[in-house]
Amino acid sequence: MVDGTKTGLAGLLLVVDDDTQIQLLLKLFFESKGLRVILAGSGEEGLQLLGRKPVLVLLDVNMPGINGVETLKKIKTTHKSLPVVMISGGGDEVLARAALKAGAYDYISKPFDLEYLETVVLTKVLLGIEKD
Amino acid sequence: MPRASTRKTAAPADDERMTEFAWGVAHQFGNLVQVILGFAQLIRTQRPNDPELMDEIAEIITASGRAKGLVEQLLILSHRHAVSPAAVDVRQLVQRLKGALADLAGSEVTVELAGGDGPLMAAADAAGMERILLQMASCARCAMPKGGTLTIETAPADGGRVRLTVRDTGEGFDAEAAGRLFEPFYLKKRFGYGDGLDLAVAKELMALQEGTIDAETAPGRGTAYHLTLPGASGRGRQ
Repeated sequence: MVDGTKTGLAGLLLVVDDDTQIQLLLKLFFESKGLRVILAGSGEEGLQLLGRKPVLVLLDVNMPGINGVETLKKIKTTHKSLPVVMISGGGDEVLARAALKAGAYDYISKPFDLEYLETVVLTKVLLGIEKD
Repeated sequence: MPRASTRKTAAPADDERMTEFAWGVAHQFGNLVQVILGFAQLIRTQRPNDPELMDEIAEIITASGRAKGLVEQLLILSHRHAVSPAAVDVRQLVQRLKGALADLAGSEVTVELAGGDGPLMAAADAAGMERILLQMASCARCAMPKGGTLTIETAPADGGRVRLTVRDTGEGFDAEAAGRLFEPFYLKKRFGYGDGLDLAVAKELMALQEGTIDAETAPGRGTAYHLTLPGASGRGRQ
């Protein structure tokens, strides 16, 4: 696993997910990698936190209120280059593919391995490795 | 031998409610598995020097992996799974999987490939076909607890289609079982097969690829599963 504290990774991650336990899991995991994490429980709340200038957004697809895809579209109108990785609940693949068309960097399906998430987020996005 | 495909007993509305139910369960259960698996992995990274704890965490992660597999099976059965058919050389695919098929079928079972060596192109979802064949190898292990032979034969079929026949030399099934092989949990309840969803998932994945699956079986004569896929001649290799 990549150790952000050793690689000098820095930056602010915005996690948008309505499940508070998954919020906590992602916060603890990425903080252990040396990153800072802010949390939002809805698309609306996530949009309000864009002013904190995150370097990456992890965005759940299926949420009450405006869903992940709609949230993504709103993000892209004002922050076109901000990478957004969609977190798809099982069976949301159709929505997740729509998200890719709307400009998402990638999507991962729950339940996922943290190592895989790390590969997507840390090595590809934050370390600037080209996407496959 | 009797030839049986899935027995349809549920009305369309019932079927729709069941698939919605399966999706809802899988979705909620998937989130819970995510939390359990994720925190177990987090502890593993934070406490690597505690071997006793690592052993216990490994058990949680293994169980989470099984639960994750169950979620995937339920999602496929909920009709929300997407496939990406492309031109696939099914003979090459089967050849590549032979070792994994042998592992899953167990040391008492011999795996044989038949039907020829040249390319045989089908319009198929490679990942979906891998899943189907690996699951059928697990079923073959259950069908042949005392050992036997699992043969996978590939051949052109009528109408430009492609056929795979997965044949075991197990005890076979009686007429009642033959009519219910593809029902979720039937084989689990009656014969103790795996998670009981493998053949139901195989049927769903075949349907998504515009394919078919049916079984030919009789007591004492083993079981042959016939899978057909659209052909892909002229589409080029995968």
